[in-house]
Amino acid sequence: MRTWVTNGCIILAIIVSCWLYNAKFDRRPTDLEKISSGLAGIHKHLSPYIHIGVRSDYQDGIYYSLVANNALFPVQTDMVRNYDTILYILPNNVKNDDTLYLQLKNKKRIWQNKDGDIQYILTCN
Amino acid sequence: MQKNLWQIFWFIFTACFSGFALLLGAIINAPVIVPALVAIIFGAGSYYYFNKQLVTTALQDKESPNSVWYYVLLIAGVAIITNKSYYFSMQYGAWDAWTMWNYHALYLDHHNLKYIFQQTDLTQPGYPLLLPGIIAFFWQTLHTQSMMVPFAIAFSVTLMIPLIIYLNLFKKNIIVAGAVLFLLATDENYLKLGFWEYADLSLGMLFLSAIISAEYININKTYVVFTAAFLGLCMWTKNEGIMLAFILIIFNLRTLLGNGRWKSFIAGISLPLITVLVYKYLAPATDIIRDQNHKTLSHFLDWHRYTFIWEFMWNTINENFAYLKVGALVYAAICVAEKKLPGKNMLMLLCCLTGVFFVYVLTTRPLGWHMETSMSRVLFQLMPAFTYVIARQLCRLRFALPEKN
Repeated sequence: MRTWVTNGCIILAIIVSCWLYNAKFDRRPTDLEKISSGLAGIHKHLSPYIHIGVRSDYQDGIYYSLVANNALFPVQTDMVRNYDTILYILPNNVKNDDTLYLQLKNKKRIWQNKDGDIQYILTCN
Repeated sequence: MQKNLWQIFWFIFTACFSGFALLLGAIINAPVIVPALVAIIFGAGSYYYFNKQLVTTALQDKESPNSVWYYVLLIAGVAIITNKSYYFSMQYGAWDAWTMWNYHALYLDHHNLKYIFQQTDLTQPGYPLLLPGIIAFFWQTLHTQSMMVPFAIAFSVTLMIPLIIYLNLFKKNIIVAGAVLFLLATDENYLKLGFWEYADLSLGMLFLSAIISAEYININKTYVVFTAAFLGLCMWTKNEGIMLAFILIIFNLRTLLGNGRWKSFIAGISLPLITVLVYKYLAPATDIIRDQNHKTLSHFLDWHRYTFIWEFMWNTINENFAYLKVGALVYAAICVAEKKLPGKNMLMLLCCLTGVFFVYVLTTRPLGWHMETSMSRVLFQLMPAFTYVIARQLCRLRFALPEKN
């Protein structure tokens, strides 16, 4: 009896937690922000995947820098660690002129600044 | 050991093995059904083996006078952690999750495996692959890259640690066992780290499981297989796990290897150990090894470095583990009252803590930054074991418990 109840509790807890996770984050399509240009320098052979990090600078508008993990351009770790939020994992090879999708956690802040201060830094080698 | 506890150990054991099956499948370019079948056959076979070997010594599932309280505490503890998961969960985990653990999982198929060492330092390409292996196993067998998979694994680990301690201690003292369950279930620092989807709590869980398994070896030597496997899995989880496993083996050398137990030990540790050795041979060295130079000696002799690390470590303990400090004081008081030295496990953990201390002494990275970004996480690797060892000692205190029949 005790074994069944314990195991049942664990399995039920995992199922419920996944359901809660899904309920909390199931709004992907509306959150996606397209960044469709400026990626011409990404070299396909460097990596099949790319991660995008987002960094905020609260002093003078909000700046977001794309941070690819595979030496697309050097980024100081301590700078990246000040990230605001991140990111969308691209499932396929990144090719020139591909569209990268940047998912932003604090959507409100993005929209507030959409017309003015946002600057996408897409410096690539 | 309770039957449900060794079943949890078996579950962890099998889940970790699925990562090895996937890695092997990726190397030989097998379709994903092959590692899935291997994992299922291994899981079923190992369950049959453990069930057969442990049935004679496993504590029977008898109801005790505290049975009602067992269920109440268990369900309440599990419900609290599940509820908290909603508030603490992060869609992609935190920094290390997306730059390392979940990221490395993307490479664990035949076509992309060759890229895994070609990443920048930012993603720590030499880190072990236990967690990425498990994530990749479920991603590939379920044909998805849903971020719910790493979350579910992180949740399971966060849930298992308090449950393992609770299940092992409730028959000794249900008040202490319940208190530990509720302390961890409501500890925001613990839950946050758990839902960041880092490997630190996975390592903590495996190390805790190894310690508990080792305590039962004298009752049934089959637990040597569990202990050895958990130690090997510690090594394959994080680099710090190699140090922790090594220290535990030193402290339990005779228990693990004496009386012909070395065969079971090798059976348990061989797969993860061989994998770690081959991987470490192929992988780029981690920065702490690679960047050692003539300054190493000066780091050793720099007294200010020691005081700085000690102060930082003490502050981190005060911020994150205040309840453990109280527990440790009671532990010490019991030792003084009984005129005994601290137990073997406590001495071993203090040795591990010293090892962590010297990792920071030797680091080649800026010391302040290194400690700022990793100290609390590293201490959380040892926290489950410390909590268990202290709680086990506290179980000897008798509260107003009902008399046992």
